[in-house]
Amino acid sequence: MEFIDYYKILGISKKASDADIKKAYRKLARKHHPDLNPNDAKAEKKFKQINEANEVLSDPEKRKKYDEYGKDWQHAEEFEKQKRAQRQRNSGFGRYTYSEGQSARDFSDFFESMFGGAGFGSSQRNLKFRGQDYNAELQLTLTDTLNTHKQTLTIDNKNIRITVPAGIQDGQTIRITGHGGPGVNNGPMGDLYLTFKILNNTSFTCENANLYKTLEIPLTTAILGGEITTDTLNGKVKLKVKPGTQNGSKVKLRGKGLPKYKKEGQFGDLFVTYQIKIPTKLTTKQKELFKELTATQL
Amino acid sequence: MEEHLIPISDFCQGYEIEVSFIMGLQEYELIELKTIKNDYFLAIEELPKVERMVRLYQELNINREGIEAIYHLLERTELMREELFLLKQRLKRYEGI
Repeated sequence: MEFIDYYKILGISKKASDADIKKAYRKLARKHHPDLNPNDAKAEKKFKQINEANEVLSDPEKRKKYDEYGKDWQHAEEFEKQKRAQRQRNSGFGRYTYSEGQSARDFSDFFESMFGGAGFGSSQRNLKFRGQDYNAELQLTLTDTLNTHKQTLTIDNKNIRITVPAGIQDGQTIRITGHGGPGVNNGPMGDLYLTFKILNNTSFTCENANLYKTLEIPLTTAILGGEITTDTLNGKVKLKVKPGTQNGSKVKLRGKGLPKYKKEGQFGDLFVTYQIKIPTKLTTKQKELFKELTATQL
Repeated sequence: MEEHLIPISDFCQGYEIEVSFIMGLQEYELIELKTIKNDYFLAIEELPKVERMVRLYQELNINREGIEAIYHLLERTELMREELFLLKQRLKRYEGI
């Protein structure tokens, strides 16, 4: 557990007044508030740190304890006992208290150790807080995205059965309402943001619902035309190659791409780019034939 | 289809917020309220959006004008995020060749 410099987090000096703390907190909270930075885990983390720093520094008693023990906070309780004993010896009474707030959520281990799990201070209203949003990643293969299917996830030891729509894209995030952290003071549950990581287990490259493939064709087929076979995600198809096909020319196979997200029955296209294979090893006869062709000034 | 509606008075009581704030959001066309016999209701689908606005107001002291500006910017950010996503997909294709 590391010491957390709450002054540094708020960007203020140790001599900062209550007004300075309030000002610094408001400025940073506005910058990093999760509602202003949706799907930004870094901002959410920073916001929690800012909240925690404000929780301690805006409460005179907590700030006093924090200032008093600083880096030696780990020994705070020990010091307390000694101080109490000392005071009792001196005056016969005396005790040290610090206000315990309501339920604590999302505070660091450092905070929990130092302030015994005190959450938002009693000075605050009995506000309802929405639960924390969770972020999770789900890996699928490209072929998994071809059909809508059900999948069970385990979040916080709870199983959630979700429907993964066909055509979900790499990096796409979907929100599952009410499956985040529990709210405080009967506040609503947070949401679960699920980001999909799609691993391409095919020989195609993809962009949105379209697929792309480079296909080698023999030189003679490119010149004279012919028929070749290519793979698609639904099996093999035959393609007619026009005579005089140029290197790099493309053909579009309509509807042979990926399913379109939440558009049932609609598919992207497959674009095939022809790459003409230039033979490198020719037989003597083939060389002669090429020489004959050259003589015709082809 | 059945529509779930929440009385504005119940919502405001639960969130300890003034009714005038919610009515103001409607005036700014940031939310849509339903009226049934002079009572105002909030559709349950609107709830996450209204809750977010209440948090901005209560936690960050942002007024309605600020909320309106933020929503406008968040919408633009979302469009840019989508565009970035598409461009990354396209870049990935060219890098893959």
